[in-house]
Amino acid sequence: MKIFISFKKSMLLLMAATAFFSACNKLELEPTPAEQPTQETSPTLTSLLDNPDFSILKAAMEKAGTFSSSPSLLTLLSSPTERYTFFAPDDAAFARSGIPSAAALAFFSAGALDTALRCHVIPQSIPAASISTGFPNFQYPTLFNPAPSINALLRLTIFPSARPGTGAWVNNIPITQTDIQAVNGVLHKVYAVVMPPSADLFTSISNDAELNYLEAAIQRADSGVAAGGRLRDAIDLSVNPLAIASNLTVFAPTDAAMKTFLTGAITQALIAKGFPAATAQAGATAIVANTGTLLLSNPALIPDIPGIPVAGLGPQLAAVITPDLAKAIVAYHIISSQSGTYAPPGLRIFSVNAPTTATQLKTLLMPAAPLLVTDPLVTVQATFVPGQPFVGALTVKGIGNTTASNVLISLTPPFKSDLNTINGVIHKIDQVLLPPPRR
Amino acid sequence: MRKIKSCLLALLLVTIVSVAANAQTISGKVQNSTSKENVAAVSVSVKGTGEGTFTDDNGNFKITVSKLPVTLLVSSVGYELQEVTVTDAVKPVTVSFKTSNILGQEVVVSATRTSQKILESPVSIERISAATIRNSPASSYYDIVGNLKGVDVVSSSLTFKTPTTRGFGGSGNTRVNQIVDGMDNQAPGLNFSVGSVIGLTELDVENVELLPGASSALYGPGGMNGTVLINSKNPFKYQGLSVQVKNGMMNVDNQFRDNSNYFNASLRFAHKVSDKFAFKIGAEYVRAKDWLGYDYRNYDRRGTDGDVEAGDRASDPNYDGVNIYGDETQLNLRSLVFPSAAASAPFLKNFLDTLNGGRPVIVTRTGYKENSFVNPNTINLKLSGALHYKVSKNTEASLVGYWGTGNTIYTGSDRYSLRNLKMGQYKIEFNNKNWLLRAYTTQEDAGESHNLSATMAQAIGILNPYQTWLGIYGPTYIGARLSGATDATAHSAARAAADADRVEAGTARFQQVYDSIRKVPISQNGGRFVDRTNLYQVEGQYNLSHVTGSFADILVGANYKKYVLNSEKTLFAEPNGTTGISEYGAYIQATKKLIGDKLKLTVSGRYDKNENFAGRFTPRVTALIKVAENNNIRLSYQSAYRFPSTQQQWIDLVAGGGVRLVGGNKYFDANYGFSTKPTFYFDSAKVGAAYKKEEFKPESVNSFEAGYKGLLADGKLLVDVYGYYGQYQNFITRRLIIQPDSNDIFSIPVNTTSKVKTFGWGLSLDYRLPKNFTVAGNVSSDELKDVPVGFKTYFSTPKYRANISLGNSGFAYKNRMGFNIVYRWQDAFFYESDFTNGQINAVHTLDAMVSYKFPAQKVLIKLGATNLLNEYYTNGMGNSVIGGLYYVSLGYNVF
Repeated sequence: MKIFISFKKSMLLLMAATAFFSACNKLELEPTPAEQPTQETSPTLTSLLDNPDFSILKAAMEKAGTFSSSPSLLTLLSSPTERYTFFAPDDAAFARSGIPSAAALAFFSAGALDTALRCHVIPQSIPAASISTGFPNFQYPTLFNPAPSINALLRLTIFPSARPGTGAWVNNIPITQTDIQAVNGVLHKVYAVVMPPSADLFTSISNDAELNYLEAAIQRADSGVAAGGRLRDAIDLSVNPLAIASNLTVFAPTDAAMKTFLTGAITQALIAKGFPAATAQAGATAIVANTGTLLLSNPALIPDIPGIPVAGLGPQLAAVITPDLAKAIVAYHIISSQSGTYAPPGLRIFSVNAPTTATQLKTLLMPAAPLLVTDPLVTVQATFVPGQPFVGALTVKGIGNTTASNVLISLTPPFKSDLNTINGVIHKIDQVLLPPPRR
Repeated sequence: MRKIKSCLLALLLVTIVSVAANAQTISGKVQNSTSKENVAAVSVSVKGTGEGTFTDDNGNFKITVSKLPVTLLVSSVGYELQEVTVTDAVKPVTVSFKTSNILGQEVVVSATRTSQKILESPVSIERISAATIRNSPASSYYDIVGNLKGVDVVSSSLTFKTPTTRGFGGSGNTRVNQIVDGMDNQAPGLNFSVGSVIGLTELDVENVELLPGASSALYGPGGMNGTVLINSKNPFKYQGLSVQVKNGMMNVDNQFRDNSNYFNASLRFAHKVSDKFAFKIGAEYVRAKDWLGYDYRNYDRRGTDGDVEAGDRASDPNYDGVNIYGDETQLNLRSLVFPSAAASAPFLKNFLDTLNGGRPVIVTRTGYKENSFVNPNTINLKLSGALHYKVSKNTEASLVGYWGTGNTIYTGSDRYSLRNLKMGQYKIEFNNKNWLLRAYTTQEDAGESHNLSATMAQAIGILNPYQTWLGIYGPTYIGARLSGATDATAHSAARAAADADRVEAGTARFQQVYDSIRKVPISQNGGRFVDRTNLYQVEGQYNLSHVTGSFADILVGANYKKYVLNSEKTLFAEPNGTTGISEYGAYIQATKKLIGDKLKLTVSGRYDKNENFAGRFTPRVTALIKVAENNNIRLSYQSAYRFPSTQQQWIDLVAGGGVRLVGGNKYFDANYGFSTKPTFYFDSAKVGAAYKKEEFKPESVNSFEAGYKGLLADGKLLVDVYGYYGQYQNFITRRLIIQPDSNDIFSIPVNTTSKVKTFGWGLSLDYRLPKNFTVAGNVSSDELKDVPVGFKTYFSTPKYRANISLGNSGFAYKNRMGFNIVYRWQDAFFYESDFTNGQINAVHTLDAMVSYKFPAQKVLIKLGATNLLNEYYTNGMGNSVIGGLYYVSLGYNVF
């Protein structure tokens, strides 16, 4: 009995001690999910369009949604978990772009609207504070893939930029109101519709009625040059699909400017052959007037011209208008990030991106020491319309020029500057840029 | 010729007759006075002559004496010493042996290398006897060490456990020496002590002694945090056949894996062929499904450093689960994928540059959980044998062999699956009353052991090549981001796409790849580490007391050891093939009793020299003050130090996270150009100051200890209390350095310059209640102070721990029942290792057993459980999760 009592006592003691230490092991084995920011569900970029200012945009989005590409833009922009930046044209912006009402959308197919609208959206949230103020801008992909079968990662790109104190733009379109917040990103109102490019640089040049001589000069420059070294490799998708990666700025001399240049060049050649200046001037003017773009594309084929006392005119012209000259002239009009190459990242300078102090930029012309006395740079300067997010004057000057060339700025259609293409932007100029003299 | 023979015969006869004239053989039996069971291995000696024998497993003895009457001294621990006067040799003697209620009567050897009562040990010492093992709920005798005062255990798995004292816990601890029958049990190449895997079989353990804290003055370099000495049963003393079978269950609640079987069978057979010759053989076999690691928390690995962080596989693309493998390699999309994407779609370059704020976009492969592919079958087979021969009355020669093989899981700088690990220890020893001569070798073979992270990093690249995986992951991720997906959504879409062809663990294809990688050495892009490192040692000791006794008791000894590193360059650098490391040492100890035996002073000193390091002298001074009979105060100053382990000298291994672990040998400096190429410290993932070459030295600790051990309450209460204060110097730790030109990161062993202080205390009470009840408890504490900020100490030790136990070795019907309940608690602490760092929560365990014996049949049935409440716990980061183990044990002739 006594044993039993002492045993019982001991057990009680032990149990008390055990209870004191409250025997319960805490195991921590499972990972804790990383902290996720709480996700609000409203408003989405889609629901922001319920504002009456966006009636045309909303109608356009709805019509675009009937196009087969899936999911529709409306659906994408209504998902609260994704992130986008939407450069949204309000009704006034549509009106400025020639679409005064939703009814006017009837002229566009659903597919065309879908493409155009997807080019207003960047798959990333970029509030105004994050828009690049660097020169010239920042290249972002949009939601539109022009050729999914070629490359799933292919996207048409747009170029947001900002200039403190002046404004912010996408391409050359001013942003009229920034940072309208949605849970899935940010909406910036824009001044006009951001039209997606439909062609590459070369196609745009060749389709332009004012740039026939430039096209001819490109052909002349490329004649007899193997693939890979041609100018068209940089700008023409039909000869080099990788040219889609180019990102260039072309100061395109109009036909009138080119004719002036050619007249001058032939006059110089005739004077060198012993003709008096007045005769040479008149002859050169006649040659340019009578030969058209053949003078650039293939001068050797030009027949003798009555009244011009030069026998074997074609071959003699071909000796003056050489492929090298054509190449030097064209290459000197194309701005890139590195001299002599169109390799990325390139530079796509919209007028609003151009420096407001005279700034030297690199061109596709090689800084080849044996040929040129100085580096083949051009000097660019823009002047904004006071108090406005628009450039009133933009000049570019070659080293061989005595005066600067003017970009043909127009604030109303037809526009001759800021012609955006898939792989670059074109600004027409009134005078050919002359490279530095050769050794 | 015939004449000579006759003469010889006559001479022989005379001799025999002269002996036989008085020689008488006394036979007898020793029985427990209450239970009437026969008591084996009881010492029976003739008073005054020193001649003696032991009872066999039936309690019988025979002893030849030259004349009658004689007085026989009958003694055994736990029994009262009896003197029996024998006048008649014809009648068998029956000794009725009374159990003793006096505590603290055990004899220990390791404290001074000479026998003394545990109460009179001049330094702290703990002891486990065969009786303790018999009455313990532990499934393996090795686990009992964990219930001793001041001891912490890190459990890598069921069979791989590492004890430590006074700090520096960790799997495969190199600061605790484990000595089995005089042989260092540390695997010479792998550097962990294999006592729990390959050591003595349970039935062959006579006792385990533990010297906590610094203890290298007598046992040589290494014992900075204790020395565990395990001694086997001499076949002259412990005879007969013993068998024990334990059969049990693990994972009873099926929480981590299905309910599984635990099986442990051991056997010992010893036979005294004659008074001069005896032998024993032993075997133990363990089979179970091992405990495994289930820690799936996210680990932010920075070389050999890191921390647990938030995030799981779904929410963190850079997730690295602790016990998930194959997800350690960090793949940076920005450098591996974005350039090719930007090349095919250059207008994306700017966009790609903006992703993740321009920072690296790190992803890891989807790894495999430890339990999905590691062979859970832990198998452990131990075989042992010994031949003992008495060369003369005072000299016994023995030839001993221990061999073991097994599969288990181990945590070191990574998790390792030790497969077919083999280790043999072979010894020849001459043991005289006054001297000892011993030579042994340790032969190690890591078998098919492999590093889980390295194996899976390679295997995952074969199951689905990294290029292929990234070739899907990268574009899917970019594509999703281009569609406006958030970073998290894009990563999960990419992972889903890249893992579409994932080969799951358990499939034939997975197994085939895993098996092929784990068998290939790490140096050949596999996961296996080859290690056939061997150790050879000779040592001798001479006790000069019989000559110098009038002045002082003097003991001298010396040893020489040689490591032969052989890993075929998978673990060690081995620039010239196998690499030898020699070490020698010598010690002397003098003991003198003063003031009429009230004060016993012992002075010891030891000198050791390793060929790669300057020689070291370690002194020890102890004083034992006898305040009353069985009440002693002990004071000691001792130092201990440790030569860098073989790995700290010669390892050359790429660890998880791509960091190369190298040794401290000057070879590495020259080979990797630390002093010639631009090299910087790399702390907290930042390139810091320029690397400065410093001499790599052994680490050391100086420790003061004061303690009291005494019997109170008529010998029923044993009190032991101690306090210590120590200081570590030239502490060995690891530091990262980086060569930015090649981006190579190395982890080099270095000494710290600051002195780190350590202190602690312990208290234990053992109380013997009436009727064989005992209640015991202990509590202890260890702390480290003055640790420089940001310094990784590997202290890994709880501040407090406590044990409480209640038991009875014989109660109820004819005192045949026994029981024991042990409760252990340890405080929460921060665990640091080369594999993982992290908080370990407090651990509570309750172990219990009940037993019943059939004395006539010599059968003991035991019902036992460890972690009775099945409260899963882990006592080291990334180590296995330990649950309850329930077993029935059936023993025959277990003594």
